[in-house]
Amino acid sequence: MGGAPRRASKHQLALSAGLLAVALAALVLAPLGAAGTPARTVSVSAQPAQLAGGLQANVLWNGAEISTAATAGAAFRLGFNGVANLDYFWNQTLLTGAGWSINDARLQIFYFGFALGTRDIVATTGQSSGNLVMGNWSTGALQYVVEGTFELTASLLATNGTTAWSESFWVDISAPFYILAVLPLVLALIAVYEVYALCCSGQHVMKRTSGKPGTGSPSAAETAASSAPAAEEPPDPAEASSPPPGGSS
Amino acid sequence: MSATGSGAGCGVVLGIVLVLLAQQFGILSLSALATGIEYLVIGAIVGGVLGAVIGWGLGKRYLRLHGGASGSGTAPAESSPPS
Repeated sequence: MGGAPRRASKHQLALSAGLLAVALAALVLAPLGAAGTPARTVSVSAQPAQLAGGLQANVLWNGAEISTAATAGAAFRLGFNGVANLDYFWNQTLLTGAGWSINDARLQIFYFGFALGTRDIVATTGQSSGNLVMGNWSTGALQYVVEGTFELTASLLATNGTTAWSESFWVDISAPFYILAVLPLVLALIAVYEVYALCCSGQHVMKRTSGKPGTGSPSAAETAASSAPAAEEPPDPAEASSPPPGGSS
Repeated sequence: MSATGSGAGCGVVLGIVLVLLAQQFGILSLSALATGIEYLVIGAIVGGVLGAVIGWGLGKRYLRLHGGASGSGTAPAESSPPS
């Protein structure tokens, strides 16, 4: 009699274990694959504005031009606790007219279109040519939260605050073992829980038809518990007709 | 909630979570707002459809193995008493 249910639960367990194993394998192999294959299929959104309004500029990231990291596949690497030194160079190529006067170099890191962090280096006077050094730039406290490939924008601001020049490039920020940051860990836990809940979703059918208490996922147990009073336990007539507390006969 | 609905719910969450994880592992980039939302919506839709199919299949399988009344993979109405 109990052979069929036992076999069924065995199958269910095997299926759940298999799906969990696939999910965990994907979680483990994904960072390894990302580390091994630098070519990533991400669209290029760099803005090569080397010459904007007579202003010629260049930025070096630890000695390398940022234009070499114009795609996510060629992103610069920044390890945990890593720092980068950025050198901004510019000069005005148009010798006539008012021209640009630069007094601010800015670096921003973007996530979902919003700047996660901004750092400014401000010169005391506006210059038509020169350089600013942004030393020891790091993601700061963000390195404990996020990792992955992010778009950074280096820009030069004129004295009136307008952007005279900007260029985007990519940086791959990595946490230890590719996962030891808060957001990846939380996401991995959610993924494992959801895979488990998905494996147990089939039991929703039988619980409703047979009225058995939940043995699977917490969500299934909650569903069974929430539906139990309405569907299976009618209110006690004695309780329903009892007077409210404080009433006297 | 039916097995199909439960599976779809799990699939939607999984789709979104996997897209965010892909960004964290450097496979996708969510730096731009429009692209990021596009990836999330696609992940949610694909995950929801796949989750619904898996939930439906698991429900059907569960009913068959446990001798359920119907093989539709969908739970009967709340008010129907168990036979």
